[in-house]
Amino acid sequence: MNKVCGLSRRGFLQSAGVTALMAAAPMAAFAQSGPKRGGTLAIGIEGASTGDSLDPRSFNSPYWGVVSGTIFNTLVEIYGPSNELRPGLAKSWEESEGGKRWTFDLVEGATFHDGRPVTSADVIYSIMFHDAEDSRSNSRAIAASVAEAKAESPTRVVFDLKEANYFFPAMLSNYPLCIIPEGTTTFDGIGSGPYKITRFSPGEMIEAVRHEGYFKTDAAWVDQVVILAANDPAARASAFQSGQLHIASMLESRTAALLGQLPGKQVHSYQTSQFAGFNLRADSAPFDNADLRMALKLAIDREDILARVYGGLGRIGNDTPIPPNDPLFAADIPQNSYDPEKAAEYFKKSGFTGTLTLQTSEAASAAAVDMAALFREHAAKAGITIDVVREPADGYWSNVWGQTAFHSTLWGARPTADMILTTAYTSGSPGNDTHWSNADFDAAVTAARAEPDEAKRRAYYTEAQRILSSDGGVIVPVFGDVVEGLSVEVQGYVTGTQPLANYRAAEQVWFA
Amino acid sequence: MSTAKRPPSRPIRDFVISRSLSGLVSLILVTALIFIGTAMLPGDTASALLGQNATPAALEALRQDLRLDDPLYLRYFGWFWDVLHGDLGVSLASGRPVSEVLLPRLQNSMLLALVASLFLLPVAIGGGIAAAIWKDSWFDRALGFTSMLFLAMPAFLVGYILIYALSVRMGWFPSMSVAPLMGGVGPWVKVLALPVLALVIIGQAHTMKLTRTAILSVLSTDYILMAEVKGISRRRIILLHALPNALSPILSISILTVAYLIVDVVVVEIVFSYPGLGKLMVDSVAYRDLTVVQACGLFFALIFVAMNFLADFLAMLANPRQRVPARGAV
Repeated sequence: MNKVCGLSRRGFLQSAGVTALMAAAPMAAFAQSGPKRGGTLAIGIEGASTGDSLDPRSFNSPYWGVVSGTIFNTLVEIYGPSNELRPGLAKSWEESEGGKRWTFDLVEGATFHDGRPVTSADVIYSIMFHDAEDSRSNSRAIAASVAEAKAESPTRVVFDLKEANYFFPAMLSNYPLCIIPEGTTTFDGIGSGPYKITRFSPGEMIEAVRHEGYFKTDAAWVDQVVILAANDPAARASAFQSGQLHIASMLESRTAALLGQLPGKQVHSYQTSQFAGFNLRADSAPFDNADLRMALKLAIDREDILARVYGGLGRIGNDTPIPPNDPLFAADIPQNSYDPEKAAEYFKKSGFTGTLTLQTSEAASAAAVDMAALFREHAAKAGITIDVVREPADGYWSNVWGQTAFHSTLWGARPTADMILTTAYTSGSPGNDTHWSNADFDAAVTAARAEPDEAKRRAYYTEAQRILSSDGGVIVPVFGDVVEGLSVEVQGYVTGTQPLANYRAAEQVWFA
Repeated sequence: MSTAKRPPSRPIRDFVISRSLSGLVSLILVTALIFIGTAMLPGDTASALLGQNATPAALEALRQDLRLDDPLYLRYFGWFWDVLHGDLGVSLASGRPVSEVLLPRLQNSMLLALVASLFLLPVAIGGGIAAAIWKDSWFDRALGFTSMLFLAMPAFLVGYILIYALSVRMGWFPSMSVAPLMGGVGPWVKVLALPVLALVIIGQAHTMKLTRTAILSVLSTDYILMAEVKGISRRRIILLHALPNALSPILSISILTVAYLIVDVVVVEIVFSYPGLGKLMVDSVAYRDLTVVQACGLFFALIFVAMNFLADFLAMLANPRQRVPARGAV
């Protein structure tokens, strides 16, 4: 058992307050045979492009999450529906100096695909090069939070952080932070993971065969893995139906029931902290007015959106990025819910008259577009006129998102509550897409991160959610579940909180 | 200085020169239009690459990196100059040489077009001839109706119907036409089956209709009437007298059909996720990967211009009247 500061791994997890999702039955109820080797596994997921490269700093989509989990290893892994931290290349880790120093011990016997052993120098290189000057990595902030990384021995790495952070191990599970050989500059896909690349066709597919020297002996059952670029949900669904794909992730929730009825197929969904919502830009007119923000929060019928956009698969949000199934969810703060009369009162109080223009786009998911249309109808009952404008997906993230007064947003699941609260809602963060700024909120989040006591930390997070829910610039109506399809012959799959068993499906499953 | 005697090769030489020049102009125009068109779309490579992670600083850095801040005409002429030197540049999105990105896709597109035309041309030309032989019969009408039906159907609809029937329902073929590297020819047959079938269904109508019309128009000439008066059977007239004279238009149609199969298959490639040039171009437009889009456009235009040239050239050779200078045009 992994001991961290005298606690078991699970105990550490709870004390660290890592976002743990409700422990729904991870596996579907069907007969499981023991693991056995053989077969070629075909996985289909979105987010591949012809411009892709094998540079981990460019990994920024579900497709590359899966590639990372198939070809590479991270130091720490996140497992199962409750986000349990598990050893990856690090067999154990411990903190000292009040969460400012983290020491990782590497597993023995891990090798790269070319036979070289994995050492602490490789780990330091792989993490720190995300903070190189030309880096466009989505994990750059994590690497940048490290003041100094030292190799104490070939199997021991010490990270000294600029600020205390009890979520640091969880953050190292982020898929771009996978370990590659030290000094890699031409990225050919050499990793330590369960499968090694035999073919990389950007925007098309990746083929990989089992890495015979893989350090996990109870994993990597199938002989070959094919990861298909299936960017279109309809193409994904039909390839899954026809048997070309054994596992297809991120299927449309409205087709879930139909797919699940097909012989030999099963469909299940997992709860996630990913959400599509609406941004009210809080630093300029008209949404610098808190009453107007509240008016809109009360003018959206969340139940209707859950039923009609997500087919009932999901949970109601309270205008914070923390879903109800998160252990840190603040259940005892007021829930914003549909109340046209109260919304009309706030609207009147705000003094705003006229039409609000809501910009939305497929870029922020198909659900976002449907949701915007419903929002217009809901708000009309409160006497608030919303004009929905559909923007092209091209350039949406640069030209509309985070820029205009009122628009759709989309945030992917983050492994910890701290990550999303810090990235998206603290003052001055580059990812603060509502431009909302609240000193009390900032203080609560900063204090929580450095707080070793669980009860106190929870209190800080409750306060942060209360402020965000009542005053913030984001509307989070619903957390929609993510639907995945599996062929029945695929066994051993454990649903996570991110696509494809937290991206590590390839090493998990075997064929019946 | 003109005299009645002209060297007989002259019209051909004139043709080659004038068509090469006009082809060159078309190519330049096409690339310029693509350049302008892509620049007019909202967003640029930097914003498409960075997506939701775009911070103003990162955007600015990447734009400078990719020279996106230079004026459009400078970027175009820079690109044009490099192409003249045989350098298609590097992909803005991945940094790999464009030729490396393009070549496998071009091969895939050529393969698909070749296999599709092997099926399409015999079916369509044979069908057209048969329809002309049995003009106004039930066969002609049925063929005319079905080919018009398929012609009217959008390509994506044909694709989805095929996927539903033969892939999802029957499970005979994969719905995504991507081939594994290992396994030899077998997987390729499966992979190509549905896109080829879709292309044959969509593409046959034109060729068939034009073949039928070409033969029927020859049939309405005086010498055919003469042959009929002499009591020669209709089948014999068509195969021995009409067909050789209709060969030139049919040849043109066939070559243009092949050009269509390489160039116009974007929708089919998308529906079946087939990794061809068309899909590459669409994907690259999404990322504003201008160098790749430009190169795709250049190749498409090149193929189309070359095929048109070839079609007209062969038609000219096949038709003595076009080969010889017009009399009196001294």
